[in-house]
Amino acid sequence: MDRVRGLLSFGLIAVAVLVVLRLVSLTVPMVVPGTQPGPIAVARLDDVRDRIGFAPIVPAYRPATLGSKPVSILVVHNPSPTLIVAWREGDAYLSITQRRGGPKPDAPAGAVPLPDVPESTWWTTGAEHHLIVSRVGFWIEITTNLPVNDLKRFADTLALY
Amino acid sequence: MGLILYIWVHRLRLPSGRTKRYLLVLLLVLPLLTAAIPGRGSIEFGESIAWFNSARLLAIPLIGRLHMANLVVAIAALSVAVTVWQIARYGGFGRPRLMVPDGLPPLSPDESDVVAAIQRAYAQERVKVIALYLIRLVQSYNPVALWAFRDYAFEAEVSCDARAVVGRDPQVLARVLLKIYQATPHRDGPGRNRLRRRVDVLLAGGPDDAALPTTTVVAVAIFMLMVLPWIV
Repeated sequence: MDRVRGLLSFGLIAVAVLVVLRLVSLTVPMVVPGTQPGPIAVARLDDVRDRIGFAPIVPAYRPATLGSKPVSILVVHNPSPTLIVAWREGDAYLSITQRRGGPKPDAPAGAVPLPDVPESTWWTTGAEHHLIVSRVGFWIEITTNLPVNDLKRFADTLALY
Repeated sequence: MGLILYIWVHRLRLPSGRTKRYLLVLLLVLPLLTAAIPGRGSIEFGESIAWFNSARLLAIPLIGRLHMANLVVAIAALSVAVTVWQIARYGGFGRPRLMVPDGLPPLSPDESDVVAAIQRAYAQERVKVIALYLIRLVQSYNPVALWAFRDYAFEAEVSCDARAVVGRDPQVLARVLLKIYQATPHRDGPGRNRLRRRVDVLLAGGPDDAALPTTTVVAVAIFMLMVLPWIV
């Protein structure tokens, strides 16, 4: 024991300090919600990977009616790392919510698979289509008011940016 | 990490000596090593992987539009200002040294001999101190680095004192240091305090270079090297 004299007290102090630090790190966002990082605006899709740690999965097909660039790119870190990208031009819009892991996003009871789109859950709210698909460990929710044919093409052309 | 070492060293009442110097070197060098790990500064690392994320604390609002981050920036600016002031007043690479004030009474041959010995010891120590000083300059925003280097410089002086009195009567060097202490203006409180502490160490039998086993110091270093990256 003499060869490691002092190590036990170091270990105890280190564990105590580390536990306190962890508790502080976990409780601060609960007490002061503004300290939670996110949603954070990102300027370009190219920057998403640096901000959240994974590459965006977006439809390669995007009709000209949506405009060329996203109007909004947001990342959220908690409870699950999530990317939200939105295109809008006039009345037409498309929103892609990409979440890493976790349970499947909620869908209403009447949701059904979209024909010819594997692992999909589809429902409509008025003129708005919602589609949830699973791709390489991510849950992707597509929301748009474009016709269902476009919705299907969005799902079919989902690819890493 | 500085907090852990600070509490531990005070709890052990660790005396001056090699162990303390090694721990202070760890405190100066390890943060630079871990800061160089790529990806550690990303938001995702802080939010999903790190054990402790200081960004959450820095985002705590204080008064008006001020946040904790503003307070930390102010402390960092103060630390840089202290560094600049120290360079202007003492010169950057001055330590360790024996600052001999004006009006010092004449030294006896024994005392002059020990002063020459201590100057030689300082010359041998200088390269290490300069290297650590550069590391401390890189972290001039960090008050912990400022504190750690200040303590290291003191420990280096204590080590030089110990080498200077080998084969000599430690009382002679203690007498010289006391003469310098008495001739040092009262306004130089930190300088007088260092001299008094050096005399205390000398009269207590010199530094204890084996206060802790090397195994303990190595284990502490490995532990800190493994834990520090997870604290951002």
